[in-house]
Formats: sequence, structure tokens, C-alpha cells
Amino acid sequence: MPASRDDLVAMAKQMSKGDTFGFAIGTVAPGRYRGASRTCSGRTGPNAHTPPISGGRRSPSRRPIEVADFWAGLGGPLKISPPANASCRDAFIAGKLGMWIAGSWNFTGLRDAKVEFTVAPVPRLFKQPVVWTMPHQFTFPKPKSLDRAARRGVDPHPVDDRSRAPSGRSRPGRSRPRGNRTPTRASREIPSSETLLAQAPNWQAGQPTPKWVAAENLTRPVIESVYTAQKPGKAAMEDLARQINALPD
Amino acid sequence: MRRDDRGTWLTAYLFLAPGLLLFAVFRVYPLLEGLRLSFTNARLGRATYSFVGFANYMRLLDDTRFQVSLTNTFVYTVGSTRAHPGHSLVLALALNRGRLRTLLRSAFFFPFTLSVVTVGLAWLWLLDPVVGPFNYYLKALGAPVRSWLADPHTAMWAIVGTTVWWVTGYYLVIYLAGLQDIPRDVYEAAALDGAGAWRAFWAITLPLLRPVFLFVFVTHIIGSFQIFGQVFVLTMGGPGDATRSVVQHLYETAFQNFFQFGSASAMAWVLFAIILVFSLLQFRLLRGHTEY
Repeated sequence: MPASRDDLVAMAKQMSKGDTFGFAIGTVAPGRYRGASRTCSGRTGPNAHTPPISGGRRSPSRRPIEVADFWAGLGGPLKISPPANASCRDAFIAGKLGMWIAGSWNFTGLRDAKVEFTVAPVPRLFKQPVVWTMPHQFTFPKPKSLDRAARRGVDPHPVDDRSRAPSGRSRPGRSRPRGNRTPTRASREIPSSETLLAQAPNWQAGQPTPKWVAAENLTRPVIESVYTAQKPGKAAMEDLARQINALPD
Repeated sequence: MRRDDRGTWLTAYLFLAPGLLLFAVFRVYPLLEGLRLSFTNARLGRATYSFVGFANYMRLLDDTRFQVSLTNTFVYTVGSTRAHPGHSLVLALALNRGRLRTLLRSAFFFPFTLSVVTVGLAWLWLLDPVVGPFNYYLKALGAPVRSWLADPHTAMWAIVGTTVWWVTGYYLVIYLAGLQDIPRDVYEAAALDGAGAWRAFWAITLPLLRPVFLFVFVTHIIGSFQIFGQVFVLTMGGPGDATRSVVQHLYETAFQNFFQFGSASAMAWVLFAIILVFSLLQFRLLRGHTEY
């Protein structure tokens, strides 16, 4: 199990050969996966989807660039992730993908394929602690009682969290950590939910802006251009910021 | 005008009325409403629109993504126009006669009966860089493999190739109809004068297919400028913006990015103007009487 970013990259490099890859973020097309981008940039402090992207006390624009540079390396220089349009799910099922983030263990087709896999915590990849969970992909197995309990324990981030963000200490892209940290029946009985709950203190809400849909639509081609090495991370993030900031009010 | 004539006119217009009404409501009105919106700051949720003159059109000059989309659309149009008509004509000539022609014509026409989404999804799988059969067989043959749809240098050509596969059958049928419309006695007269097959093709077939060429080129170029479905399913305009088309940009502006109907309408009218110019140009280049 990788303990750090270097570990993860080294392991992924060992696994990558020809059309087999060690690591991927994203469900179907890793290059254009907005959820991955959102997780990368939104969960590293500033929210790339919140205009203005730059500015603030600690030059937060560096953090999305750090993420973008890592993102660029996956499909580019490191060559540890599948091409931008590959199907991560199919690659994982076919045994051509070693470690996979954003692949829910309840993903359509994954259960049917009866692939053996395990759920593991993701090491810290960036300066800012990151919660590697996708907003729409908390999935829990049957029975329903466990599902309900798990959902109570692991509350997915609402899409527009502005109304629930604590005032005063909040800043764009962040809100109070949420989730019940007391072990629930689900967390005791479902090992994977334990992994999720362990990360609850660092959860952050995303997109406290009504423009988030439009912003995400602008994000996809930009992150894909980073992944396919058409643009360097810094230029891409600046371009994204320019586009998001130009959205009409 | 005699009473009988008036009655005939009235009857004719009464029969035409339902069609004209539908045409006016679903074609003419949206067209004019789009023109009106293009001069306003219309957006979904905005109670009142105000007149902004040519601001939406001027904004397109600064919209780098629109310019990229326009360039991509031109590249696609040129690429597919080079591939389609000649390719289909050669097939039509080959399938104009022969023993298996009915079977082969059906086989070539079959892809055209599929919807763009079906075609896109099938090719998405065929071209998948990891588990797709296309790369698998290329690798088996020792040929270099690549991620066709994720590489900015090949993505557009993969879309062109998919479209060629999809619509070749349609143009094939049009060309076949044109070929079969050419009177046989013209060829017989040419043969009596000593013309060979090559000479007959250049002197008879090609000139007499001129109206068919006009139809094929005009409809193909109009369709190419409006490309959306293949791009949307295969690449979503990616990688980055490498295959983004004007209609995709228009669609996202109108229905995804804040419902900016004013800006989107301006794009639609710019696209309409471009298509109009190209269509008129083709009519001018290819028009002419067909004399037997």
C-alpha cells in the first residue's frame, strides 16, 4: 500500500508497461474527468470553480497549479495513467489498471465482472491534505439498513453548500468538516466506510457559487489539455481562471 | 383571373396551409426570433432583455474558443469533403454493375441506418486505446498503436474516419441514382465514336453527374459545418479543444454555460452566414445546364 506520493508514483511506474497502467483518477475518460479535477483542485484549499480563482491571503492559485502539474504528469512524462479517453473501468476489469481513484466499488459493471480488489486510503499527494472522495460516488452495499446507517455517517458534500457553510471563518471552497466521526454500525461492518470516515476531518465542500455548472463545463477541456500535454499546468489554470471570471453575472 | 382559376388557387393554398403553417411556426419564427435574440442580452432567468446592438457579434471576435471551434469546423469540413464525395463515387461506379451489387449496396448503406449516438459509441469502443480491438489488431500486425481520440493530432481525423464510415452509404445511393439516370444511348454513341471507358467517364459520366455533385457537395458541406453528434459522443470536443465544433460551442453557450441565448444566437447567425456563402459559391461553381 503506498504511504506517500513518491511511493504511489514508484509503484505505478513499476506496474506501467505498454497498455497496462499503474494509476488512474477518473471513471471512464481520465483526461476529461471533472470529478477528478474538482477533487484535485477543489480539495486543496481554494476552489478552482469559485471566481475569482486567484487572490487571497496565501496565494491560493499555487495550489491548483500544483495539482495541475501532477495531473499533467500522469498522462504525460510519468506515463503511469491510461490515455485521456480510455475507459478506466474496462481497463481495471481487464487487469490493465493497478490503482484507481474515483472507481466506486459499486460501479456499474464492476460488481458483475467479479474482479477482486481492495479499498485503501490514498496517501497525501499535495501540500494541503486532500480527501479523495467523489461527491456523487459514495456507494454502500445492501442491505438497506446498512446503507442508511452509512449514509448518515458519511454525508456526501452537497453541491451548493453556501447556505450551510459556517460564516466568518469560511472561505471559498471550504466549509466546516462534515460527517459523523463516531463509528456507525456501517463503519464497523463495512471496512470501506471506515476508510471514508477516517478522512472526514479534512472534508471540504465545493462550489459555493451559483456558477459552478458553467465553471465545471469550462474546466473539462482545460484539464484535458493539461492531461494531454497541450498546455502547461500554470497556463491552463490561468486560462481557466480567465474563463470562469468572464462568466456573466 | 377567372372564377375557375381562383377556385383552383384557393384549393391549392388550402391544401398547402397546414404545411405552410408548420413551416412558419417551427422554421421561420425560430429563425427570426434567433435573429432578434442575437441583438439582446437574453438569458434564461432574466425577466427582461435589453437591446445590445452588435455586442454579441463583437464579443465573438474576442472569444478565442469560438475561433478555435470555427477553425476545427473548417478543418473537419475540408477533411471530410476531400474524403467523402470521391470515395463514394468510386464505390458507386464499382457497385453500378456486378453480381453482388445488391448485397454490397445494402452492406454499405447499413451504417447510415444507425443513429449518430450508436455509431459514436461503437467507434468509441473500437478506438479505445487500452481495450479497443482497433489497437489490438494494429499491435498484432506490428503497427504502431496510439490513442486516436486522445491525441490532438489524430482526434479530428478519427472523427472524419468515423463519419466517412457512417455516411458513405448515403452518398453511394445518391451517386448510384445519378449514374442510372444517365441514358445508355449516350455511352453507346460514344463507343461507336471510339471512346474508351476512361474517356467516357471523363466526357460523359462526370459532366452528366454535375447536378448530383451539386446536391452532394452542398448537403455535405452544410452538414459538415453543423457537425455536433459525432464530436459530442466521441471526444466531447477534446482533447482540450482540439475537436470542438461551432455547434458544440453554441450548444454549450446556450444550454450549459449560463443559458446565454443572445450570444448563442449570434453564433448561430454567423454560422448561417458562412454556410450561405459556401452554398452560393458552390451553386456558382457547379451550376450549368446538363446537355445530352
